[in-house]
Amino acid sequence: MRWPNVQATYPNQWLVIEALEAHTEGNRRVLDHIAVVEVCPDSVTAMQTYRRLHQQYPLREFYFVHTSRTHLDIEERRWVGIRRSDAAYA
Amino acid sequence: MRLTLKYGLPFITATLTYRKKKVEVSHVLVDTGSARTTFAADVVAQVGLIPEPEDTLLTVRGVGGAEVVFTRVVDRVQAGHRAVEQFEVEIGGMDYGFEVNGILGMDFLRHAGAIINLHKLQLEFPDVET
Repeated sequence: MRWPNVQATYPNQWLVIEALEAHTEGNRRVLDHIAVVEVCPDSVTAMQTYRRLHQQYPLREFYFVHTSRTHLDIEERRWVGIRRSDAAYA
Repeated sequence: MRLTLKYGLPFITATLTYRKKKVEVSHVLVDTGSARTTFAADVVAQVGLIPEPEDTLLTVRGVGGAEVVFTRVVDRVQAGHRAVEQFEVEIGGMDYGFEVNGILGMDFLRHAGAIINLHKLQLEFPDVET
């Protein structure tokens, strides 16, 4: 599905969606093909569901969204992350 | 204020205020390698900071994949005696597999004029803005 179809099918709803196809334009992530993974009663549940799925399937591209958003408008940023040490001297 | 070394990384305790409610956030990483400041969703939910329909969504991509976060302007973020008012932070799951409830990134550190003193293991703020 595309975003307008998702909005029409699940009006005024928190969802966890998965990008089946997506691309990056400048600093925007554009979702071309979307699957609805879970319908959630509220935003906290949607984010928790996202976190669980993201940990379970780290290579898949999930988002927590509300269908009242006109545009998905997802910004993309690069981050190298935290590199910790478990050494005893630390 | 004291920097506590854990996993070889410098941590402090910070305070976040949202809609006049205050929460103390332990295990906040002081990180000049991060451009932005982030807090853990579970911690800020205590002061009612939860996702809203029109929040700006960000996908932060890097080594080990991507993470989706949302952004929100909070009343203040405070470290030691230095507070930054009306500050935009990112909220994410921060499920990194070790105890970290926030990241004070370059935006906060620069705005606050922080001095990271690794000799004394202190996070310092000059008394007068320069």
